[in-house]
Amino acid sequence: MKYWIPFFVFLGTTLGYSAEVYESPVRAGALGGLVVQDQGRLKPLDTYARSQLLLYHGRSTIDRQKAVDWLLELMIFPQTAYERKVFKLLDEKEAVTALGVGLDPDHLYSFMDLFKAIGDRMESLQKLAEKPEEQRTRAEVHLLTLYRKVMQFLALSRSWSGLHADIVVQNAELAEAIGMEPGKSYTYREFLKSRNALAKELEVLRGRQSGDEISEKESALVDLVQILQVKMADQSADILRIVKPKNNQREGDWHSPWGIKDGRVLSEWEEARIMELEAIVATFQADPFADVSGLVEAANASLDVDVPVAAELTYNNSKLFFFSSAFYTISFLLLLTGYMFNSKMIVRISFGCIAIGLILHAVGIGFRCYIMARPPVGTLYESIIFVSAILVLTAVIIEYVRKDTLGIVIGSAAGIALNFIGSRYAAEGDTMGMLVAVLNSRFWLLTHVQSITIGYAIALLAGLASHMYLLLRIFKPQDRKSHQDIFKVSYGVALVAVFFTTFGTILGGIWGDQSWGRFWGWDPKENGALLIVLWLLACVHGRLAGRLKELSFSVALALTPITVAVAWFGVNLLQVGLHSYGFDDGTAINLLYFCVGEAVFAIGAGLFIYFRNFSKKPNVSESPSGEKVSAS
Amino acid sequence: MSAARSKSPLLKVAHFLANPEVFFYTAIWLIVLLVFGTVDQKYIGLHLSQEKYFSSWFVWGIFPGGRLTMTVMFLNLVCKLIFNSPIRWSRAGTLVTHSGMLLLLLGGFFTAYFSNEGSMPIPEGQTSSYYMDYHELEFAVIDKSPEDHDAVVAFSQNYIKEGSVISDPDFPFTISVKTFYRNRVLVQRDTPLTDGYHGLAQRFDIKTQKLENEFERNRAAVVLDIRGLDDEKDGTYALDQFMLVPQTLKAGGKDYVIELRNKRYQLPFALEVIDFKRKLHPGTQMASHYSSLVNVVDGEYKREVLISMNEPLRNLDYTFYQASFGIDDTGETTVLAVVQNAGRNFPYIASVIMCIGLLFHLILQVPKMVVRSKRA
Repeated sequence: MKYWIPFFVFLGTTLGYSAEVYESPVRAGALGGLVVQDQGRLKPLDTYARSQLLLYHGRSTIDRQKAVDWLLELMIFPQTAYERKVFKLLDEKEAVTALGVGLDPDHLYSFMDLFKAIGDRMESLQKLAEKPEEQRTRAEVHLLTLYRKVMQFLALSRSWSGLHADIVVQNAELAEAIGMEPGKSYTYREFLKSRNALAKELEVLRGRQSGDEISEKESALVDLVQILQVKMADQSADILRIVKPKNNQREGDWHSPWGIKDGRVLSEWEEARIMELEAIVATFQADPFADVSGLVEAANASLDVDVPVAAELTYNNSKLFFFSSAFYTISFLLLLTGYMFNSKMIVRISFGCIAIGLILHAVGIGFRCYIMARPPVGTLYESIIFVSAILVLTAVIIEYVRKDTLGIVIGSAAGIALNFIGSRYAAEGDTMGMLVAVLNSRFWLLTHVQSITIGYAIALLAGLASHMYLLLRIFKPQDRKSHQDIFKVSYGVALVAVFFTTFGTILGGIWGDQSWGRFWGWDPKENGALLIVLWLLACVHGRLAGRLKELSFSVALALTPITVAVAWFGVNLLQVGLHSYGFDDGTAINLLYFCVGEAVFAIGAGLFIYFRNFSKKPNVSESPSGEKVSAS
Repeated sequence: MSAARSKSPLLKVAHFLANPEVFFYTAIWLIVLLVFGTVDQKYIGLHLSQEKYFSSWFVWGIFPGGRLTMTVMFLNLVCKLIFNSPIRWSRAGTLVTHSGMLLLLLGGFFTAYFSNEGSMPIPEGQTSSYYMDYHELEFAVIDKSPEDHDAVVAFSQNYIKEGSVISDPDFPFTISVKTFYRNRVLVQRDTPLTDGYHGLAQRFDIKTQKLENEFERNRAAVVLDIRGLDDEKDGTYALDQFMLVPQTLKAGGKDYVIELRNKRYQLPFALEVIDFKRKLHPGTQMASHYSSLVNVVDGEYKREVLISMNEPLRNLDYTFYQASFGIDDTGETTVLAVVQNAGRNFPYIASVIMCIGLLFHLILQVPKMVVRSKRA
């Protein structure tokens, strides 16, 4: 074991080592709790920062630092933030090359590099944007996406520029003329009070003849106008909706700081909000490590909105799904160790670990339900996390009843895999999205979607149990007792899966009848659900009719995950349904791999077992179809 | 089962049909249809694919279509319940489940044969008493001469095909269909044709184009030859499904309007839209809620109802759902989906029965299977 230590140390240093470790010069602290509106939902700034960072960096933290620290640097000290290598462009190599930016070994690029390169190629990019979408190549699509990302990054960095107190007039004469104190820094809002006076001064300046001598006051005026022009250019940075509309209600569009400074006079309410933000900016500019909890609390309190900020911050910071996956992994590894040493103790600890993982998993889902005030499944991401939890839960119940490690193997392996897939989907932005109107009815969403996802989970479990059956028959061909035992479990679980998928499918029909007037419309999503039901029913009835023997039934049942994957992810690729609730581009190829892999495994294993028994010991092959399991 | 061998051939067939094997094969065949019927939606759209694979008796020439397959399933269930259902406690769950399934399929047949559906766009403030089929067309001849009403004669879709003649003893004219386009493009002619061409046909050349995947988006048109009109106006006419200016005809001293339109179903009452409302998720263009406040007008009697997502209006046999909306310069228009379905209660009853049956079966069977058997 000792020999391993240097390896781990080395690994640790390589993992920790990076050409340039990001370190934010500011600590946002309590600012993460400031309420903002984004994608139809009120949420803490922390969540917003995470989804923004995900967009550019592919992760919701950056070199172990909080996204909100990064965001704060970007908004308060943009000049330094521009130089930092935040853009992670792993798949967009062609786009990076097309921009003429040298490839970075870590795939990390700074905003400045990209922005300059884009500026040089503005014309060709504009031509590209005019090209019809279906004619664009992959690289061109990446290039345009990157262009939009860079522009959004720029907007984000300028979104608070109006809150900075950086308008200074040194010339005393000019200052007096427009009602400002010489040498004092003003924010854009404060400056606006002098706007009319400034306009008058400009009139005077315009009236001047060319060749007249320019006074110091006038040259200061020109300087000031230049500063203002730069500021005004930021008005397009209408992003980060943080100012609640003045009529004090929760509904309605919030505004960005620049969004309300569109020239009109600010209402008292808006001005108060802007001043709160200005105070926060000023505090951080004076001391990057300042504690703004008082300011944030006051700002949130004045909004008078009911947002579970604390819960969402806890959820964001606790990484519950990550830790639950970690416990599943430990459980799986311990189980293998337990097999190796034939130790019941280790197996018991392994069971404990999967149970802890499940609890963390469930708490995570509970947090989401509480924050969103809706049932656990509404989006594709949520369905993955929920299926994972139900699968592990059922596996844990099976393990609790049987105590033969079958539940731990299936539960931990499936939990790890599904949580991993979930984390890939989480990388697409804020996972707590809003739902379209038809999905936005709690009762039918609750019943149909929840039961069909439970059905997915249990159908997967039945399929996985059959995988175990096939593996056992390959590697322990003599242990007929175990074979029959697992076969019975898989048959039982398949019946439960029939129940939930049928129930969910019919409820889907009822939902359809309630929402748009037809019980069944052969919509892809409905067909997907029906596919699983029919497949399971065909398996069960084939077994009853004696068409499927123990082995062929297990092969068929082991193919069930294919039907689940097709119903779950496949139909979303068709994009014709009324209620496909997710879309992803790379899914198609992964789905294909999965289906082919599963088919090869199940059919291959079936054929292998069949021919081995056929050639070697015909007497151990299939027992007559009778088995006591064919109950019902 | 052995008794069946000595019985009549009909009984033999019935006994054969009672076998779960029949379901095994029909289920597999339905899976095949399901896969093709779903994937094909990407190419031919939901409506056509539904007709081709699921509402058809045969598909690809000789292969059983969805309707035939499900009929076999239905017979299988009936025979199973009659001939292959020993009354035993352990079979109670399956018996109940299968009865529920039978009811569900029965409801499906009712819906397939006895239901109508369509859409009902009503601008805010206006009243309507008919709804329009999504797909089926009709050819309407409207006599405008009576003072207090329009006399409408509507010809079903069967009449709208090449070579068919649309006539009525009451009409002083005959219309023969020259060409029918299910999805058309209108091409403006460089110079209008004058020689025997009238109306739309004068100024536009009509060409056919590929059917849209969303069948509702197809725009039909028809080119007609009309004889027997006043003022030597006989000749070639064209009608479009979405005419901006109605085509009027003068014949026998009367004014007629002819229309190619979605088939209309008259309601025994009317709906008046008082107000349409749409709510968005704040800061997005994503709708979170639609609703229409309507009056159900039945003669003198008015009743106010709010129709919203998942909160339809049910009146007599009809159900009205908030389906869509339109907003333009003239104001807001709500679009309701209308369904008249005698079989709509079947799935509700069936699903309750099936769920009870399945649950019962699970409680009876599953614990036996999951619990580890004692090592011998």
